[in-house]
This record gives sequence, C-alpha cells and structure tokens, in this order.
Amino acid sequence: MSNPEVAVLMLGIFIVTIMLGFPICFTLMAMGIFFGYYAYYEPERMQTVFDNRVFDLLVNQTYSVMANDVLVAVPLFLFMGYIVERANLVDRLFLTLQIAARHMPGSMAIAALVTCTLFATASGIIGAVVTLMGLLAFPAMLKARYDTGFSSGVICAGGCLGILIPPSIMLIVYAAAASMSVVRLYAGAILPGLLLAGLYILYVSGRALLNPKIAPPPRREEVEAMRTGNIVVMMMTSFFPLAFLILSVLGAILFGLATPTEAASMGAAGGLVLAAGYRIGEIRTGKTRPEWVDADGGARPVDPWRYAIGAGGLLTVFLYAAYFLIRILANWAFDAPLPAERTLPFAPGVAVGIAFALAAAIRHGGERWPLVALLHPRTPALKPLYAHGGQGALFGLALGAVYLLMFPVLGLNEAFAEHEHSHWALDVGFFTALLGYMAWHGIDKGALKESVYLTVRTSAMVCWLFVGSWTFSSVFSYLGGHALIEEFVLGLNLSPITFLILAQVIIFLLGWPLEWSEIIIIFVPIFLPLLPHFGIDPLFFGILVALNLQTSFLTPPMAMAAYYLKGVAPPHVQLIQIFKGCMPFLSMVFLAMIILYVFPEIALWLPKIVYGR
Amino acid sequence: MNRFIFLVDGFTAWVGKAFAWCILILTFGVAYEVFVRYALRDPTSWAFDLSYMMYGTLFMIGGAYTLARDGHVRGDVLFRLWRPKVQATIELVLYFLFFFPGILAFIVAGADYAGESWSYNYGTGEVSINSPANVPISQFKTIIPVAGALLLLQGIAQVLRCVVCLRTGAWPAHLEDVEELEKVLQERHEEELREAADGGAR
Repeated sequence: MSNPEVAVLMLGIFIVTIMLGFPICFTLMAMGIFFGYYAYYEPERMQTVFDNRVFDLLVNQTYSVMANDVLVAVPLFLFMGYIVERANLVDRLFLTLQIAARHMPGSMAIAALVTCTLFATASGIIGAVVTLMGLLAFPAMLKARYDTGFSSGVICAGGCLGILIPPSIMLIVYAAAASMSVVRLYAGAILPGLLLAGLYILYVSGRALLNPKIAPPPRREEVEAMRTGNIVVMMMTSFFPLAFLILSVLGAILFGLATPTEAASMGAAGGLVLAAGYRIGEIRTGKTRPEWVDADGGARPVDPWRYAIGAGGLLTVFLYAAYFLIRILANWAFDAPLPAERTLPFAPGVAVGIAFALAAAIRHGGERWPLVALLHPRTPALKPLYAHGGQGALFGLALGAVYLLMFPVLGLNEAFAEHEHSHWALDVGFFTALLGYMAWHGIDKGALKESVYLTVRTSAMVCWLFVGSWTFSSVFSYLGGHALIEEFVLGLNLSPITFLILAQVIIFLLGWPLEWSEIIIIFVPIFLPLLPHFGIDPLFFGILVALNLQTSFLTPPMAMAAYYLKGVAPPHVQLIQIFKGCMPFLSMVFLAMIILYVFPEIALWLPKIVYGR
Repeated sequence: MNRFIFLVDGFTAWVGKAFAWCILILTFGVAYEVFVRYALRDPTSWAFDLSYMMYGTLFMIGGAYTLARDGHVRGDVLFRLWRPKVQATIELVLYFLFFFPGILAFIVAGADYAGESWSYNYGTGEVSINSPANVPISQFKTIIPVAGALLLLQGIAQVLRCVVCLRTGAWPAHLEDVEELEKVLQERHEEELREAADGGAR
C-alpha cells in the first residue's frame, strides 16, 4: 500500500471510530501516533522503541497549541461569556427592550431577537442563551398570545446568531485552524452577521404586520403605563453597559487598538466589573442579601476604623484615577508629557498617606463630610463591604512592608540594585488588596467560581481537540493525504461555484452528527488547501461556514437549539412545532448565504477598507 | 471501587479547579499590560509570556478534570442510543486501544522534552525568547508530562467506571459539580413540571 493510500485509510478509520462515541481528541491523538509511527519508521535509527520522530511531532504540536497566541483569546472570551451569563442581566435586558420596542409590530419578538443577539454575542455559547430565553421570553410571548411556532423560531434563531457575530469564539477557532488573522475575520463577519440579524427582524416584523394574529400588539394600558424617562433610565442601566462592553471589545479589535487577546481580557475584566457593579448596586438598594447580612436584615457591626480606611482608600483610588485620566487626556489633546511614574507623584507611600488622612477625616468628621457622602452607604449592608476593603488594605500594606524590609534584612540590596521599582510596594500592596478584597466580597462568589470552573472545562474541550487534531493532520499530510485529496478534487474538474456548493453541502451534512468545534477543527482544514485552486478567499469561505453552521443548529434531526428550547418549554409545546417555527428562519439563513455568494463584497468590503486587503 | 473512582475524580477536579484560577491572573495580567501600554506608553516585558503560559497551563491541567466530568466532545449520535452495558464495553476496549497508548507516549515524549528544556543554560532551565526579560519556560514545558500523568490517572478511573457499569448495568454517578446553564435550567424545569404533576394528581 502506498503512503497516500494509508492516509486515506487513516481518515476512513477515524471517521468510523468517531461514530463509536469515544472522546475525539484522544482518538485523534492515538491515530496520529499509530500512523505516524508507521510513517516515520526508520529501522536503522532505532535503538529503543521510542526512537521515532512521531514523538517529537506530538510534543511539538502540543507545545505549539499551548503557546498559541490566537487561542489565548478562547478562555478569555469564554470567561467573559460565563460571567455575563451568570450576572442576571438577561431578564432586565429583555424587559427593557420589550418596552422600548413596544410600538413596533411584533415588539416582543424583536426584543427577544435583539436580546438573544446581544447576549449570544457576549457569551458565544448558544445552549445557555436558548435555554435562558426559553425560560424567560418564551412564556412571556406565549402569554401575550404569540403563535407557538413563531415564538420558538425567534428564540432558536436568535440564540444561534452569537456564533456568527463577532466577537464569537467559533471565528477565533476557525482563525487558529486556518492560520488566518482573527481581526480580518471579525471585520469580515460583521456585515454578514448584521445582514442575517436584519433579515430576521424584517421577517418578524413583516409577519407580524401581515398577520397580527400570530404576534398581537400589547394592550393599550400596558403600553401607556411607562413614562419615557423611566425607559431611558432602564436603557441606561441594562442595555447600554452590555452593549458598550461588546462594542468596545469589538471596536478595539477592529481599529487595531488591541489584539483579540487583549480585547478579550479587557472584556473579561469589564464583565467582572459589570457583574460586581450590578451586585453592589443591588446590595445598596437592598435587593440582594449579601452573606454578611442576617436574615432579618441587620448587618454585623463593623470596626469604625476599618470602615474609614476602606472608604478613605476608595476615595484615594478615585482621585488617583482622575489624576491619571487628566494626564492621559492632556497627553492626547496637547501632547503634554505622561506621568513618569505609575504611582502618585512626589514620594513613594504618599498615596497611602493620603488614604490614611482621608480615613482619619472620615473617622472624626463623621459621615457628614461632603466627599464621603458620595460613598455613604444607603443600607447598612454596604458598610461591612468598606470594612472588608479596609482590612484588605492593611493586610496589603503589611505585605508591602515585609517586601521592602526583606532586602536590607537579608542583605540583598546589592543583588537587587536594579530593582528600583520596589518602592512602589507599599502603594501597590495597599490599593491592590483594598480593591481586591472589596471586589471579592462584592461579587457573587458562587457565580464567579462557577464561571471559572466552566471556563477551564470548555477551554480544555476546545484546546485538547487542537492538540489531537494538529498531530493527526501533520501525519495525514506527511503521508500525502492532503495531496491525494487535492489531486482527486482537481481531477473532478469542478467549477468554483460547484466546488463551493459541494463543500457547503458536506459541511451542512456533517453538522447533523457533529458539533461545530469538531467540524471547524477537524474537517474544515481538509478543504482549506483546496481554496487557492478555485480562487476562493479563505475569509469568505470561513464566513460561509459560520452561516452554514447556523443551519446545523436549526435543522432536524439534530437541531441542538430546538432540543434546548424543548427542554425548558411548557409541556404542551411539541418538538414538531419548534421545528416548524425554525423553518422560515432557516430559509432566511439560506437567503443570506445566497446574497453573500452573489455579493461577496458584503464580507470582503470592510476588511479591505480597514486593512487594505 | 466506587471509592477509588471518587477519590481520583476529587483529586483531578481539585487540581483542575486550582489551576482554573489562572484565568483571573490571565485577565488582570493582560488588562494591566493594555493599560500601561496604551495609557502610559510604557509596556511590560512579561505580559505576553504570562498570557500564553496561563492559557496553556489552564487548559492542559484542566484536561483530566474535563475527562472526569465527561466534558470532552464525542460523536455521540449512535453512542447515546445504546444500552449502558454496550457503551461500557466499547469504551473499555477503546480506552485500551487508543487512550492508554496515546497518553503513555504523551508522558514519555513530554518528559523527554521537559528534561531537555531544563538542561539548557547550564542546568538552570530554558528562558523565553519573546522578550529580554528572561522569563523561564521550562516549568511551562513540564506541564506536558504532568497533564499526561493526570490524564493517565483519570483514565484508570474511567476504565473502572466502565467495569462498574458492566457489572451493575448502570453508569456510576459523577461527583456533584458546576454544570452548564442549559443543563441546570433544564433539570430545574423538569423538577418543577414533576412537582406540578404531583400537585395535580393529589
């Protein structure tokens, strides 16, 4: 048997074994090693069984996944998604949008679509979006006498949009698998994503306008109960922060201000701030009962000094942040020099001194002092939060002092002469521990832990698939498998359009039994080397694939979105109704694919404008 | 046997969860870099190395924890239609056919690779070439055999799971853990429906 034939055998055996249901990453790894052992077998160089280059290949491929600068963004985006998902944002978002859109036909359906899109964009995981919305928006829509199939189609289709609209995790994974620039891919996916979302909204409002029975308008008294001012406030607090978070992440990536990894980390940090902010807001207004408050509403008494240090330190942080903001703005506006040091000016430890002075003022001036009034807790529950911060700050200060004392005491001053930054230790320790302790107590620890643990599991799932797949495909290609496939496909004398349709049909069919991660990481790379022969841009192909995979979530027999919805829907809703409801949206996806095929500029225009190619 | 399975599950989960917190270091480390680079125009020399190390450690060590919770993706179209005993037989065979040879090769080759890395610079270990900060990376390469060893341990527990299933005809339970939101919500919903049905019957 010649080598390319062995490669085809390898692929064949692999496809059969996938069906046996063993975790795919380990199947890939093992097959890579077995066939690689055969491919790299050199009897004359064998001293032990392990003298075979396949083992070097295995570790090198593993290490290149571990040190891959594109995939770093995967856990970060996942983390951001889980944080947002567990911060209880969805219900407010849906309620607000529903009220804001109340004058449009099918207002609830549009609100559900927009909520799904925003939320799926932030979290990138469709299962969570569909189930959450299925519990929240679906009963609300049914109660408003919306048609069952119509409503379920809205939720399933809206939930799937998240894998197409950037910043989506699927596109990062595609970029890593195709060694493309994530940034270009994101730029390319925006317009097609908006096109599809626009088609959905057009369809929904069109149907509602033509046939008000399936989406009856809200009753008059429900509409007029809300004043415009209230709606603006609701939009400000629930819609804009999340939209701002997503847009700033996306904008930073597209305008080249930050790499996807950096933007993702800012997004995750922003998500944490958002989650902590909402929770602290709820604690302030007494909506949430934090763990330091008893069931009868009384908070434990706190040490007044610790409270004062926390409040004083927080005020100093605000002043400090304002100082930097002014210096940075001055630099942008008039080219004024940036601060040379990262701590407050003058001498080390001054910031800590200011914090203590403020704390003393608060302690003696009571809580009537005007600046403190800003921080003054409305409910007793907030006071312990400041006290926790104060306690943390003292702890951090002590750590900083130990760090500073360590050098002269251990006689390390000579060795660390270049270690000039050490005088920051007091400031850094004090403020980091202050904010860290406060955030740790302010945030919902259960939700944070869940997000962290789910992040590690999902990232391990995606990235181990890469470990297996890169080993497998190197061996496959070394044996000449890719060349054989190329020869075969070119021998068919397909026109570019036939090839494109054929490839999409294969991916569509693969979408029935497999999940997107397997398709993108294992099967799409088989098509990629063929693209240049047909003059197809891999970016264009990637976006078609992303659109195509939308359908795989919506088509029976394996429509994941429909099953997720069925799992949480009221018992009288039948699976067949959900499938039927998804059909019109499915045809919208096909319409979008056709439009995209006829006008590829929709995908290619923005990358060309922004990056010049 | 169940006790051994849970012991191993608990151990790999503990290690995986401990290393899961790398995500916070990753988030704040890179966010700090963005701040000092764009706002203060004074970038750090370590943030890039930090970023991939945290990410790589996170997912490699998390592999065994994910396996314990059955989180690695599988093509389960046919698999889920079979009886547990058939599932367990197939899994048992495939663990010995695919998993153990692969992971053993992974550990041996990884240990070799890490050992070579530690031998650089007169035995003090390899440093990253990405910046002049001389960030050591040998410990990062050592993650490969460590992750392999954790997977091997978890693999033994998974094999015992199959054996238990072959004996009793049902898969042994997993430890209580965090679940994806869709699973949590669906279970809660089913419970509510059951309660409502009970209430109606009464």
